[in-house]
Amino acid sequence: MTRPYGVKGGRKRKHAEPKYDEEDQETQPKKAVVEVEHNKEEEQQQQTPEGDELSGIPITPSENNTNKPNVIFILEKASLEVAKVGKTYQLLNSDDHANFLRKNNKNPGDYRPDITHQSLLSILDSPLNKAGRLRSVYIRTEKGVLIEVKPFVRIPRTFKRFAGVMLELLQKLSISAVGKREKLLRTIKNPVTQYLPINSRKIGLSYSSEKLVDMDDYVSTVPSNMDLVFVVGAMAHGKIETDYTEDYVASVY
Amino acid sequence: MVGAIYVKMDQRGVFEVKPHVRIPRTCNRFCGVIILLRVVEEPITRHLPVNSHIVGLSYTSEKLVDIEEYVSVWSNDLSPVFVVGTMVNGKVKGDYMHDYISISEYPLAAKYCLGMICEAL
Repeated sequence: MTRPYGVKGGRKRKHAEPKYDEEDQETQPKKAVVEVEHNKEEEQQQQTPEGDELSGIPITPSENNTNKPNVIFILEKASLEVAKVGKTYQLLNSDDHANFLRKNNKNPGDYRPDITHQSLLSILDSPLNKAGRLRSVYIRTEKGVLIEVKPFVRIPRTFKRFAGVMLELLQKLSISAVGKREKLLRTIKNPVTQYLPINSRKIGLSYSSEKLVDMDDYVSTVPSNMDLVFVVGAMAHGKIETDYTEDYVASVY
Repeated sequence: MVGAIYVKMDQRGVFEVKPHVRIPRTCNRFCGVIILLRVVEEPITRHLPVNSHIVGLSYTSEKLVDIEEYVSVWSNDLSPVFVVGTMVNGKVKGDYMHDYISISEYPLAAKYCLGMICEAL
């Protein structure tokens, strides 16, 4: 037990050194930003004596001038599970590991990480995300692990690479951008409600819901200062039952 | 009701998919099924109805429409045909299209584009 832990410690020490280098690199752009600010101040000082008597008020564009709510998605019951198959650790799925799963008395049909992959691609490819209204995506696995996905992430489009990224995420708890310290995918602490906005409406989606709504009409009843949280099941069978959802709807389509 | 789905391959022609088929949802099984599909004759326009209205879709089109308003003005005896590109880069080309529209101001994945069309109809 102590040796693997020591090896992990060694890896951490190795990682510490490039972090310092990255920090040194990061200070330079900060200085550049400061220089730019100084230049702007100098330009303003020069302009005031030369300009007219009345100086115009600079119009600063507001970042989010739309009156539509921001959206958060929660994918529940995602089957993202790592196991040692043969000599390597792999993300279990029903196509490649059917024999392994049956040998361990598990149902291969329940191991569908491709559903999570397609759901993530649908959310991140949507015009909602391109318009900048997607705040975050949270994935909660069947085992209870909670993952945060940033909206600007570019998920690998093939399942094999996606499985590799998810394997690394579940083992190392975060995925960073290459050359940066920005976390694109992160394992975070439960419960998910601590990350949701205070004034948000949490909507569960289920085929078996008695409330059949037109999604356009339903969303238009939400006030614009409220955020929307949609809870979607990312599994092949079953239904989601969470205690934080306020409403269960089914779309007419 | 979807009438038919035609998939135009790069070098091997066109194959037809019946709308009642249950396509496998994982990539490995889908690749196994593809070799069994029936290849139909070219050109593709011989399989379309005579009263068809062929619409191409591209992000680069200058005609940006609301898809729900676009399809609502069609009469019931018209058979719409949508041409959607399913490649990574590039755009669909064909001399058989009657219209060429864009349904979003953002570039869309093929899956999302088809979802918007199916939901509007």
